[in-house]
Amino acid sequence: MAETLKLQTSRFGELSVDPTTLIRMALPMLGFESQTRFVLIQHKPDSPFLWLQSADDPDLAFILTQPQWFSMAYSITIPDAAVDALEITCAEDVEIYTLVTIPDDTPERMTTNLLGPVVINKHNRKAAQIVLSDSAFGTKTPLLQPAKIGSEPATGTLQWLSQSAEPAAAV
Amino acid sequence: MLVLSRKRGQKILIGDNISLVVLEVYPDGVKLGIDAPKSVPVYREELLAEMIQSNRQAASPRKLPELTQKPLQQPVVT
Repeated sequence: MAETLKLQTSRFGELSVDPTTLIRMALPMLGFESQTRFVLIQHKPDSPFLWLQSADDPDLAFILTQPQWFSMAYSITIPDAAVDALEITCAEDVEIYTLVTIPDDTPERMTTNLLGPVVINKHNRKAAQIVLSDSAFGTKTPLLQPAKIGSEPATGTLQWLSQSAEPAAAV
Repeated sequence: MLVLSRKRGQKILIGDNISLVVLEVYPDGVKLGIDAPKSVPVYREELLAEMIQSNRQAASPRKLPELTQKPLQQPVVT
């Protein structure tokens, strides 16, 4: 077995990572071309969010989700360049994630970028951010229903996100 | 910057395997056809700029709200 990799991160402290589980960007995150190695981390059990933590920049992390976890219909065609770069042989090879943007002051207005999903070949851990050039998808699609935003008092708990009896805790 | 004049139907060749052809000409625009290898990404400039801006805004968020609403399907993480 390969040696465990020790990574320093600002959010998760020191991570011990099996190098074979690293996500390697075959086609880069646009604007972050120098970042080629990431670690995929489940946010919490039952959370619809995952962290894509850079293995080389302790501060850099993205939040990923899958649109269908928010009841969005989302189907895409992976461009040939990504199929080749990720060595995709069939649809079952891939997992499709989208990046989530969370405004600091109004986290309930989080959006996701359906235009530029991150495709991961789960077998070889190669990943690519692709751009669906001729699709109708945008880069700022609200994840939460607008009707629920603003119906809460400004105190800022995120209870309205919850369908369970217990109020959700604000972070 | 190289500036070339082309008429409708005429091509420009870039390197060995990229070609641009002027398909249509409008008063304030043109329609281009692009032949390039699959490995060469071709983007509208403004689309690429929007993607980069979106990625920068998404990077390294300070807050992540807790969602207790369960996803419809468990995330598969290995």
